[in-house]
Amino acid sequence: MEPSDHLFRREAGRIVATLTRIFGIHNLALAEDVMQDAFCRPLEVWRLHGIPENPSAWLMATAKNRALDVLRRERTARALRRNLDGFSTANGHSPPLLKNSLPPARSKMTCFA
Amino acid sequence: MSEFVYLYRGGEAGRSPERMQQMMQKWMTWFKQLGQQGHVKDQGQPLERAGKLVKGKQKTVTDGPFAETKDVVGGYTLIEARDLEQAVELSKGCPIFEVEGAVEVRPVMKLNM
Repeated sequence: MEPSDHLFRREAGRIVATLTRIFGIHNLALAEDVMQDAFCRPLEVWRLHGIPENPSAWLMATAKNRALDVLRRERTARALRRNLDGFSTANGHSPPLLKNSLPPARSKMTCFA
Repeated sequence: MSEFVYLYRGGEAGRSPERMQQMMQKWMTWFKQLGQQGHVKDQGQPLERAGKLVKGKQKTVTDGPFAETKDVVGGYTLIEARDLEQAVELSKGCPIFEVEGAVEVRPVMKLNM
């Protein structure tokens, strides 16, 4: 299938709009990051095997899954931080090592194509 | 005809959807051309960037990536060509060179039994 030249740009816009609804408008930058990351994976497969019939649906599904991953990781990080805070107040000092070693909510995303 | 493996190393695409789409279309064009000339034995699969490395008598398991990002193998393709020279020439059409990637061309070893 030959995609139109603007397929990805159009889909990028739709996806960022949807992700902004999921993450909230204050997380626009995060939505854009997730969109770019979500584009990378299908592209690597499609460049070898060709574009499927409905690339839009694939891109949106990948983006939503990626968004859920990010939200899940943030929730875990928040929960862990609460536990650690409890630990440090109970003992009057910071827990060793752990305090600043939580994975950042947004790791660096790399795209190859 | 002999068989060769192309190992795609590194190569970071641009971040804009237009750029991603352009790169993907270049890959598809290159691949289509190779296929029409009868050089593609198996189009192969892209590989996830993360993995595990199992090593030594102790079978120590460590996390990937195993080398610097620019060296990580992101995919492979099985190619048929007359000889190594031709396989190398054919690889020069790969769009990965535009994004500072590399193609490793390796002859598949054959035993005549």
